[in-house]
Amino acid sequence: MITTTQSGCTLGFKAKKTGATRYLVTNAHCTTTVGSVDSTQVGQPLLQSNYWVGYEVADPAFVGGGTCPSGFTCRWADAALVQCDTIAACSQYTVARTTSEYTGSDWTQSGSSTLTADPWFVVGELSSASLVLGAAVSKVGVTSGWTGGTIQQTCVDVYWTSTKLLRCQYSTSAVVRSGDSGAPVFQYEASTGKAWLGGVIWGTAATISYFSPLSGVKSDLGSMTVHSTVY
Amino acid sequence: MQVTRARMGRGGRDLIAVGVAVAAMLIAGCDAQDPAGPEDPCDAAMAIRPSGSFLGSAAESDIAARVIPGGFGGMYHQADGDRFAAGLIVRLKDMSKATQAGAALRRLLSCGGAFPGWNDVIVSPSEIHAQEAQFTATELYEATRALEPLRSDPDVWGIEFDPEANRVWIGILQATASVRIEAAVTGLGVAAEKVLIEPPPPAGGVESFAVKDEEVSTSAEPGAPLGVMFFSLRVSYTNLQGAVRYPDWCVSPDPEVLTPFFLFAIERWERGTWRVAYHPICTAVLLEPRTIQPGQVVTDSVPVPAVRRLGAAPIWRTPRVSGTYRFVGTVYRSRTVTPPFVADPAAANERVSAPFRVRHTLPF
Repeated sequence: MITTTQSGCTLGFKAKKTGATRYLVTNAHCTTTVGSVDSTQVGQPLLQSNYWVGYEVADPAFVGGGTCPSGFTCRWADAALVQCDTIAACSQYTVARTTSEYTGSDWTQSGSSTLTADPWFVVGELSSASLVLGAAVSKVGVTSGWTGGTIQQTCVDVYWTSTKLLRCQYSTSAVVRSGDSGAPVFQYEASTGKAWLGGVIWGTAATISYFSPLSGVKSDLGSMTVHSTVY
Repeated sequence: MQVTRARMGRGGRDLIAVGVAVAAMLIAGCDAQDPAGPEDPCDAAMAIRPSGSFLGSAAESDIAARVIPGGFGGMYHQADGDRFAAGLIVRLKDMSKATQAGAALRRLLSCGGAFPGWNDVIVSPSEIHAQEAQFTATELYEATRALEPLRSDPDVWGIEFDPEANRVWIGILQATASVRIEAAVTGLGVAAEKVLIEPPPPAGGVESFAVKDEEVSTSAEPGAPLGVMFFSLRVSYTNLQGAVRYPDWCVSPDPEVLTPFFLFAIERWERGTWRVAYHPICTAVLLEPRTIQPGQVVTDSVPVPAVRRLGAAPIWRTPRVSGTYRFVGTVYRSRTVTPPFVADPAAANERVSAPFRVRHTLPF
């Protein structure tokens, strides 16, 4: 769990750009203002000075033109980049692993939130070719724990309001609840502990959860490394 | 071939359907350039349409019906949960012409001879399911025009072409006016079978939520996305119980919508029952719930962005948007110390609003 002045969310995944600095990715809507860099302070799990882990450094504005429809401004992901205060805290490309996954369709249920000794090691990325209708994906969020489902929609434009459009989003049947914003979406190989990162959860509609694919995250936040072959 | 029997409510009675046997037939895709008949439907449509701009779904359906063989009675994508089903439902009077009709419709959509801009945006003809229609869109468009005088009737609040019902829908304010309105319909030369007179639902109990009626318009700016609409509901919740209640939040991801609002669904009154029409997409942030004391009233402005557009969300599930709806809130009886902070959902009758009307001013 991470906390900002806005809300409680889930840490998405760790990232590296050029240089030694390390980053975290979570949802833009977990920061003070979506589409604006306001150096939102991030605490884990609480927003207290002894828990601070970093601050927001990238959250680009919605922009019009190009393929964005007339009258709208667009982005490709609900994602913001948080610069880690220490490299050590964000050095490993891992995702929290818990003891059991819930893959059912009862949205009153949750998966396990009890951490295992080893996390998931992110060893690759899921391309759009992997995120096809019916493909299995999982997520780990602070409220509903480890849940899994299948891809329900691919590359849909989500109309937020009469002027804001989030382009090419994906949805899944995996259970998501309040607090899971920012949760990493991935596929895994249980026997090896390997995971392949697919995106970041940001919302729900009844029994569908929405996430921004990694390609959209990179479109908005720039190129980044999110996995390692060494673990 | 799949055959189903439809039943619809009208005038508060179980009826119509008129014993309509609805046959469904899957029409395979084919080259959009294939001629559909002796005359190219595009040329025929261009010759009769008064302008290149979108004329409204009833008028566009009329044009299509005049150039497509088989008695075109309308088309729409059904909702499959919170997405649209892939197959396009096309209503036809003469099911034996389904193949020719499918080819002509593909041609017509590709050239914009009817429904300009709809091809693969609002409808996709790549997979067509033909269903038997009782009336052509031209018959229903003529009926709609003939019924214009009824718009000034104090008991009539909406008249709209309904491709799903293959009827002209008439919303009325009081069930007691049904017989009089039906007589007025026939008095205007329109057969009663062509209309679906919808009175308001029966009065419920004492509802906790209240919503004001809304006018909804479709975005019609040049270049603006087709099939996209926005409106805002003014929603009040009154805690009518003798104990504290905790309505759940929907937090919009949009920075312009700074204030969270009630988590909700919208249901439409249809054929004597309530049918889910809309779910908002809310962010999954964690907020402390609101505490509403007995007798306390809270009011939210609830934004409703919705689409009848392929490859987009959140969808409005019903092809006809005008109608009578109710707001279904998410309310809990107790709260927890740890996330998600709420538990024990309130009874269903505690969470609904009295009916309210949505009028779509530019139906797409």
